[in-house]
Amino acid sequence: MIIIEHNVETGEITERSMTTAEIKNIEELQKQAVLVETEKNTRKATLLDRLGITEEEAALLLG
Amino acid sequence: MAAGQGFKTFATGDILTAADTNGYLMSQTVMVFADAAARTTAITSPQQGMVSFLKGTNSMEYYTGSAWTPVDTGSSPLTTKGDLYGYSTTNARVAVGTNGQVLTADSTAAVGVSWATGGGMTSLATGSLSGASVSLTSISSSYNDLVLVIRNFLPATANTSLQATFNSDSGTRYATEVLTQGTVTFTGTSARISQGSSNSVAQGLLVCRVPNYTNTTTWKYINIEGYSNNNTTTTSANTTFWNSIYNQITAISSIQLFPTSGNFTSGTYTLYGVK
Repeated sequence: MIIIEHNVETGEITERSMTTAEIKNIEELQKQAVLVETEKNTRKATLLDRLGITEEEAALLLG
Repeated sequence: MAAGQGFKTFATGDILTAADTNGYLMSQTVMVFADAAARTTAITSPQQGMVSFLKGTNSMEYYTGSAWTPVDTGSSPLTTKGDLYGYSTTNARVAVGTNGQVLTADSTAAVGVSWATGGGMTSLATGSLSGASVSLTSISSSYNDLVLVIRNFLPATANTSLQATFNSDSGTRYATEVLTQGTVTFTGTSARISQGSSNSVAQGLLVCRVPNYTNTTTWKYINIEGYSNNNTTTTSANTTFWNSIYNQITAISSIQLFPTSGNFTSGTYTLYGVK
């Protein structure tokens, strides 16, 4: 896996392979981000189901 | 020494008197001297309006009634591209500033003005989204706010969203919520920047604002608005209008961007500092 490091102060852009620790970290970040979104979507779907409306219908109500 | 008399038209037969010669001619010509000392010796009682030229310094001077003063011959103190004409007690050069600076009134400067960093937005960094992560490091603390503009985010994996962390902090310290009144809980380890996006259509414009990013007394948040490409259809888009809160008071000096799966295929980022 490649990481791009852009030093804003100097303008230097470095492209390098991630270390083992960095790979582990980003994989965990990705996994956690998906998990958070999945849980949110599940809660949303459950609520929509209880209300008996679709996501599009809910959006129409809110809009 | 006679004072200058102004102008007179002599008629045929007029007698040229000493007074006319001194008043209309001698006191109103440009008199040439070797130097100021020679002039002082020659003109013991200079009159207001007299003009002389000093060969030693190639300077033209006029008499104010109390002193000989250089005539402004229009010579320029400017030496460099972008220099401006200023004034202190005499004409002076205002040296050009550096790129992006603005001219500011400054009573402490010799010429009353100086170049300084102006308000508005300054582009700090721009580049392409590639690899598995892009890290913007060593962000200057000289600005009030940061604005990060993401254009045409395209992940390699379908239905992938764009995420961010601050200061490489991957602790459970982030909460992303659509802008609404309510309570948030910090269950995320990164801030959500976009919704799940298609990996086939490169479109989208996301504007992320991080206000007061250097303060060390409040938690930080990133306000995101814009749109990204829809995951399932190329003829629609996903709107984005939410906040991600980061529950740390540390000043932000770096931002890490990454897709929730795989690599970036393409896209660009521009980070601005806002005064």
